[in-house]
Amino acid sequence: MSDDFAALFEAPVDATPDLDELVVATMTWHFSPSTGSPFWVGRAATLGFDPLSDVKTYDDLSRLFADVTTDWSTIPAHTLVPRGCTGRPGRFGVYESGGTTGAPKRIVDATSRRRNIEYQSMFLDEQGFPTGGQQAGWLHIGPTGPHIMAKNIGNLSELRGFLAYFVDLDPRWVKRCIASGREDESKRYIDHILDQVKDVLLSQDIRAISTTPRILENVVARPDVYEPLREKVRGIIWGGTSIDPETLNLLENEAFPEARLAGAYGNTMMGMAPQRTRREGDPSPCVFRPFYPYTLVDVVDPVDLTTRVPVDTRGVVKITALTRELFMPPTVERDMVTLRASVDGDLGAEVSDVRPNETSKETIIEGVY
Amino acid sequence: MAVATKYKIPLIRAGVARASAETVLLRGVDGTPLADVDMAPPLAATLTVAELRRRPLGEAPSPETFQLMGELFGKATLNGLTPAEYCELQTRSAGVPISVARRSVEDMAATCANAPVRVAAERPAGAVAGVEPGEIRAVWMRRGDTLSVIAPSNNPGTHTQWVHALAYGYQLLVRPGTRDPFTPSRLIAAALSAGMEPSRLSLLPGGHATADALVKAADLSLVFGGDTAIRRYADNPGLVPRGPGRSKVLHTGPITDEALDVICDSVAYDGGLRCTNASAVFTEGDPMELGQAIARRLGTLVAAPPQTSEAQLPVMPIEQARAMREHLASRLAGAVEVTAALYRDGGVADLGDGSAALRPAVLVCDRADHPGRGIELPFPCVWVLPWSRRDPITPLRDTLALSVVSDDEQLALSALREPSIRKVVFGGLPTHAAGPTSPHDGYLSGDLMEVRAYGVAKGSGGPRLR
Repeated sequence: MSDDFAALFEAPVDATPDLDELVVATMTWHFSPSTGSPFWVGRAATLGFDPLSDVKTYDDLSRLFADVTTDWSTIPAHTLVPRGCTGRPGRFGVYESGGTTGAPKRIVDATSRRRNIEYQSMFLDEQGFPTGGQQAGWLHIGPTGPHIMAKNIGNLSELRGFLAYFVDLDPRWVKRCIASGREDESKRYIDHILDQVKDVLLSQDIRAISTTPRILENVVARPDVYEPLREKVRGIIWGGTSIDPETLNLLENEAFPEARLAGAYGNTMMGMAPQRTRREGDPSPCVFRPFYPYTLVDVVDPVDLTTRVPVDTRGVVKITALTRELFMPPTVERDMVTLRASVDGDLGAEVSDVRPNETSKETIIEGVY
Repeated sequence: MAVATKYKIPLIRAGVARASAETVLLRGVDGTPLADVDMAPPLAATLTVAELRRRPLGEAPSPETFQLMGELFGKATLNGLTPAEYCELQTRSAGVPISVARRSVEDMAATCANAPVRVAAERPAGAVAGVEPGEIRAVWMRRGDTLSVIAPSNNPGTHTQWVHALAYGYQLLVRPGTRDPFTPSRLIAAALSAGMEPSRLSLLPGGHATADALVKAADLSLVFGGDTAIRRYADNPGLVPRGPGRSKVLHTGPITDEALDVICDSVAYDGGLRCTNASAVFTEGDPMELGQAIARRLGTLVAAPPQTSEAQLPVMPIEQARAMREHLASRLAGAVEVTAALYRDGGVADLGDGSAALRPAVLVCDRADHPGRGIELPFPCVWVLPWSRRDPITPLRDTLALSVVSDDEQLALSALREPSIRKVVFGGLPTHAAGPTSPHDGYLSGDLMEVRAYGVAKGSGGPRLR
């Protein structure tokens, strides 16, 4: 079911449509009353400019939408579904952000994110990540429920020929335990998760997993889970939280030397930026490449959010989503990253060294130690 | 003195130096870059303990090894640093006066050499080294094989404690304090050069998460820290806590020069950075009069950059020093700071290079249960409180070292009967005084070792225990 925009919105994932053409298509689709979502069509009247005629380039979009604030946590999600998507393939779902720092943000998605996962899988092929031969199992140990992660992993495992298994991890509960000083409770929760992982590992033919670095570290500290995992698993996707380069080095070379590890940087709002296959002379052991031009990542000065930082400089990420199913104007997220030069020509930003943007405060400790 | 402005401290896993992809630049208290420290993330701690468990563990190192380790620590160039260069780096980073570091170098050599003697003194009299066929006897055994040490940066001497654990035969994993990786790094280099089995020595610089992983993975853990840090591991069965010392002086009788000598030495020896430095003085006399006399003496201690010989006070980055004084101000609860009047420019001595020394603080309280009696800060800071024979022991509880400055030895002996007072010295000894085999906070072997029974039938007999 193609239309005038199919060449842009549904281009092959290894092709790169022109960014400004995609911007114009996105404006036309999302702000035209016949195809746009009730939310954006309704919002057009109060923007102070006409997205259909005034936004011709990504620079126009960045400039004009700079002052448009959108509270993604309160929008009734059904009003985000574009009218033009009615009758198109795929069923819309509502997906929530982590929700560990305040009210969760919500987006809608039917098929757009699957394209992002196809893009990720393309890199996994390049990196020699295993396939499942329609028999082997892929175990996801991480957020499911309202989070888009479960859908992504469902798609990724299917694309790579695995049966998907899930052990759910509720990040909001973990965060709440830690925030209220109940670290013992979060430890018990992690053990509860590892017990379930062990059960799946011992009874099923698991060859690949996806999880967070923290869970991987906890696995290594539990010999009864670590031994079977190390023995069986040949592919590991890590993501969801940051990882320091030394931990990555130890995971790849010492903890799981026989598995292929691949990082994935992403969240509900930005989609999935897979780890770009390593090249000689890379500035960092793990460089992520967002799904350009559908997800645009600007790296901006943490104080002046309108100024882009130079290459090899740290800044916070500002995300723009341009797909048929979701338009998200430039939105600042909490992550700090280092902007890297794109190694394959103009394919948008590459980023590395992702860390949460948290300010640390020193407190006085009584005692000589 | 010429020291390299940049130096590298590798992490050490089972005796082998390893580089890390994660390094931290360690700066002096004045901001000067001193060293790149290779950081061990939590996973490095977990993997190292797992690696140790796969290795067979031999017998405890010989007395000669400890003798040599001490000599090397005191005299050799280790990690590319002479003893003098080590002292300067340690001092500039931790802000401890260099006289402390220099004395520590000598103390450490003696401590290492003395370790086997000390261990022999700690061994229960009934425990034998070997069981003959036909005997069932007590033997002295380790409670585990691996010991993690969450070390502080306050004073190089603190590290002497884990030297004893090596003598019991433990495999050590040391997470150094942020500001002093130099001392454990040098001790480990000395031990390895002396021929100690490499698997016994690991140095894993890192943050809280690394400490957590170490405590979780190791059999036992010696944890130095404030009350919060100790509580963090309270439910860990292998915890050997070393919290604030809250050391005290009890003074009765007239305020003599001799009494003031002992009190001021107890408060300010080594810059007031030891857990055995007194942080409270209880007096049967007038707290205000005694407090003012102490203040007049402590007020003359010299604020200077830590690497200079005249320095007598701890130094830290100036904003941290100010925060420390503000914290103290918030904890006064009616106590009167009698030192304040002595300092024209306040309790923080700006050294003009981004760092500041903390001048001594003497705080006079009007009641024995003032919260100041339990507040220990990392500089010469002492609370002077009233004491009476009506309730002699209650205010002295929870004390690592107590000096009784009095002519009444019965007072010292009653204090000794209180289990939460871990050391009592009487008759003019400062709180930090210690004998070659006197316990610091009980014998460390009390937590790390135990007696078990071993019997061998007549006519049998396998390998002998040592």
